[in-house]
This record gives sequence, structure tokens and C-alpha cells, in this order.
Amino acid sequence: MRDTVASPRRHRVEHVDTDASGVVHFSRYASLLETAALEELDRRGSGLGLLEGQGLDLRVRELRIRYRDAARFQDWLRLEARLEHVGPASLKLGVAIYREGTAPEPVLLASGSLDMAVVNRESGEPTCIPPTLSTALARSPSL
Amino acid sequence: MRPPAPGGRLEPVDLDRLRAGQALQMDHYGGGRLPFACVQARGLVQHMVPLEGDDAGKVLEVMDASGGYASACLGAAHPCLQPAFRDGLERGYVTDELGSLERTLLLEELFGPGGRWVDRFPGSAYHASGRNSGSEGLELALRLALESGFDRRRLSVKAGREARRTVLAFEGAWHGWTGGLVPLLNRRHYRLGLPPLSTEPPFNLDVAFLPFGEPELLERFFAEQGSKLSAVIVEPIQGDAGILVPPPGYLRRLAGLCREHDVLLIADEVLTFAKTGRFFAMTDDEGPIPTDVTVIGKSLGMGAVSTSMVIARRELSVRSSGAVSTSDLRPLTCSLMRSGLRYLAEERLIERAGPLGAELRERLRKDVVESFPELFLEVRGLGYMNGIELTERASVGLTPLRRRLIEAGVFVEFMAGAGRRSHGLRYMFPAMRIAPPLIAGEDDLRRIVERIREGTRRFVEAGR
Repeated sequence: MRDTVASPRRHRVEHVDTDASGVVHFSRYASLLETAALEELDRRGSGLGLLEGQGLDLRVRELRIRYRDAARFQDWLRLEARLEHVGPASLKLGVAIYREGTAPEPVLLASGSLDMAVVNRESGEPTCIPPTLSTALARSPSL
Repeated sequence: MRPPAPGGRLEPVDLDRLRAGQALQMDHYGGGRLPFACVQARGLVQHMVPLEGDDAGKVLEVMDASGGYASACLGAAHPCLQPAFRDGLERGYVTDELGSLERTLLLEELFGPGGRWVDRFPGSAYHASGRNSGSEGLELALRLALESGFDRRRLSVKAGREARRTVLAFEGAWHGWTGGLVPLLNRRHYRLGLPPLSTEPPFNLDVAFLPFGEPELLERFFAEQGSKLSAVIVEPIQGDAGILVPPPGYLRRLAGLCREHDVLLIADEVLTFAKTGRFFAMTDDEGPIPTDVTVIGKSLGMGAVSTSMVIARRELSVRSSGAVSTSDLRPLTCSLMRSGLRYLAEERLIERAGPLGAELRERLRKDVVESFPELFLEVRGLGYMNGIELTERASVGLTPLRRRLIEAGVFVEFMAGAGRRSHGLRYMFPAMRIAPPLIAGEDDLRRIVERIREGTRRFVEAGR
């Protein structure tokens, strides 16, 4: 399944985000990706809290980021996350990060994805997603 | 016997000799062997003689679109092999107990610093062994997997691997005919009546099967059974199943799952080697897909010798003298491999097969499948490894169809097809394999398609 519904979230660049050259350090984008992805799961009623209640947890098995442009101190960023794939034992979320500003359209700074395996919280072993949860995830969220 | 040129006829006495000669060889086709003999060949052209019918003894000029079970990547009598034979013979016949200059030259060229395959198999992490055939290569690969779970010092199952007694294989796969490999084939025709693997613990081995190319089933299987798996054995493009190409990302996901679950990944590249527009089909846009063991064969022998090579991670090995083979990377074989591989690389024949193969499939789709929808379902493939799946109707008329094709001047082989598959997937019928030698250029491919079309037309016209 593919989901095109995007859920925007805003983030203002702090001083701590930037490096010596004044732009947001490349490593910060991983954290932003994760935040946006987890919030998207939350918004779908399947966040970490719910997974924990079912004895499940997530393990990142692949992170991909493509950089296109830089962000600077006090820029407003717009994070758009979407659920790309629900596998039998994995989730994949795509995230796009834009800069909001004076331009008529937000500028794409980076895009990427988080591919996460679902594991048993106690043993750490990979496990299948319960059908009720798969169904809930696959449902289009109401914005 | 000096066979006449195409169009001429053999003397009756010579025809009888050929018939008698064929009768002396064991028939592995249940009486369905093709009634033709090859009397001469050069490049893509074979001179074939019908052994039966009105044209018996008449020499036909036939283009080879199959390369002898897809093994003769240089066609027949390629000049680059002539000096290789001489040099190889002069380097001696030493076994693997001794080093060999010719073996060193080959392995250095492939796995040494700056070697041809060093991006995938660096000599610091991998080592290689030679076998006589694809089946033997796969036997060694399976043995490496079994040995990896055995503690040679304590003579027991390796601690922590007690539960890992399952190998995952794929429905419709062909890995070879030998005793150890038959349990890896799911088709009843190949298995029934032959002894299964031992179910007796602690050294038992189970085999599980999944349909090939279905990522969801793969992920679910690993989540549920991953802790019981010892190894996965996969053809990156299934051959005997009818040239099944997996969806993008499937093989890399499989490699990822194997890594996450601590499972060995064995790639059977006996058939795919050098045919898909790259040396190895375990490749995608990101580059090489890592394997623990890779077996290559067929084209590796350049159509001149039967050989295979097992390339495995250095930590994988067999107990002392447990897998010794008289001809493990024999100098003569190494010389032929080195010369042939160098020629393929220098002439860029491997890379050329990618785009030319795409054109070939397009022509087959347009001129063959769309022209005879009652006989053919679809074209599948990559590079010079292609298949056309037959309809049920065509499947029952295979032998007469092949005969018509040879009479029209083209030789193709057929594959069994995956047949019945699980999980509600459709039945897969036999497929015509079009895997010409890599020396085939654009004009050759065009002629091959024309002749397939003409042979099929004659088959349809004759009603068989």
C-alpha cells in the first residue's frame, strides 16, 4: 500500500542545530526524520505507546537521506511524513523536509525514509504485526 | 566421416553411424530426445542433421539461440581459446594440494588487488574452489552451510545453532540433480521416490519452500521462522521455473533479511553468470548484493569444458579433506576461464547484453508472442537470459514445435516451468529459453527472432 496523505509539522531551526558554517548539520536531519515519522504513526493511532502496549517495538534497519539544499538558523522547516509501506513485519515511512519562506512554494531541503522492523519488545526478535494493527495503519487517517 | 556443406546429404552409412551413436548414449528424456545430430559448428552456426523423416541425412544450417543449456557464451571454436588450451596443457595437471602458476594468474585477476570482481569478492574476505559442474558446485555450497553449524572439535552441533535446521529454497527452482540437491527442489516430478534428507536430530535438515519473487511472503516467513533458518538458497533469476525475474528490491531485501537473522545466503548463479548484462545477477542499481556463497558455472567453462566455481566467505570451509576434488581449479580449466573472461571483458560483451537483450525481448514480444497468442503467453528476462512462456496448448506439442524451429534454422531449448505454486499463484507452463551465446550481435538476434517466427508459422500451418 502507498499513502499520499501528508501530515505537515513545523520546526524552527535552533542554534544548536547548526555547524561552523552556519547551516544545519547533516546529522540533524536523521533526528528530524525520526520525529516526523513517529508523529505520523501517533497521528494514525499506532504510535510507540500503542506498540509498547502490545509488547512490540520498532528497530530501524535502514535510513536513507538525500540532501538538496541547506537550512539556516531560525528558518522554519516543514516536515511531511507519509506511511509508504506496511509489510508483514515492517513499516516504512517517507519524510520530506521543506524550508518555508518568502518563496511562493516551500523549498525541498531533504527527503528520505525510515525502514523499521517490528520486534517483540521482550526478546528483541522480529515479529509479525498483529492484523488489527495492520488494518489500523493501512486505513487512511482523517485529517 | 567428412560431413558435406549445408544443403548436402550424408552418406547412408554415416547416417546410420550417427543413429547408432545416439543409441549408445543413455536417454535422459524418456524417449523424447530430439532426432538431430550436430556434425560441425563455428560461432553461432551449427550444422545439424535430422536422423529421421524425409530429410534424414540432409545437413541444415542452424543458429544457436541456447548455447548448449546456456553454457557456450563464446559460441563454437572461438579463436581466443586456442592458445589457452595450449598454455593450460603446458602448466601441468596439479591438484589443489600444490600451488599452480595458472591458478594463481586466474585467481589474482579475479580476486586480487584491483581484480575484476574485487568490488564484490575481495580476496581478503572470500576464497574460491573449483568443481566439475553446477550440481557439484551447489553440493559444495550446501556442504559449507551444513559445516557452518557443526563443531568439528566437539563433533556436535555448534553451540547456539541447535535450532537452525532449515534451509529455505524457492518453488520451481532447479539447483542440480545430485542426491543432496534433490530435497531442495519442490516439484514432485524431481523428488518422488528418492530418499529425503534425514529427519533424525541432531544432524537433520528440513527444507522450506516459498514462491519466488513475493516480498511479503518472504518477510512474513523470516519473522515467523527466521530463528530456525540456517541458509537460503536462491537463483537470482529462476531458470528452470521459466526465467522468472524478481521485482526490484527483492534480492537486496532477501540479503538484508539474511543478515538481520544471521542466515547464510547462497546464490546459485550457475545459469545467470555473465548473461544478464553483468557478470553477476545478484546486483541492482546500488551495486553488488552481498552473498555468503556464490556458485557460478555454465558460461564459466566457455562452452569448452564443464566447470563451476564456488566463491565463499573465508570463514566458511569444509572439514579437512572432506570435499577434495581431483580437478579443483585444474590449470587447464583456469587457462580457459582466464582467457575467455578476459575476452568477454575486453570486448564488453557482458555490458552489451543488457541493451541488446532489451531489444531482443521487444522483438520477441512483437513478432512472436503477439503473432501467436494461442501458443505463447509472455516474454520475460534480462540481458541474454530470456524465456517465452507457452500456453497449455503449446506445452503439449513441444517436440514437434522444436523440430519445426530447427528446420527453420534456429535451435532453442525449453524449461519445465514452475508448475503449481502455493499461495494461490497461477500455474506456470514450460518456457522456451532464448539465451544465445554472448557473441551474438544485433543482426544475429534479429535473424534468430525471424527464424523462431518462421518455425512457429510452419508448426501452426502443419497443425503440429
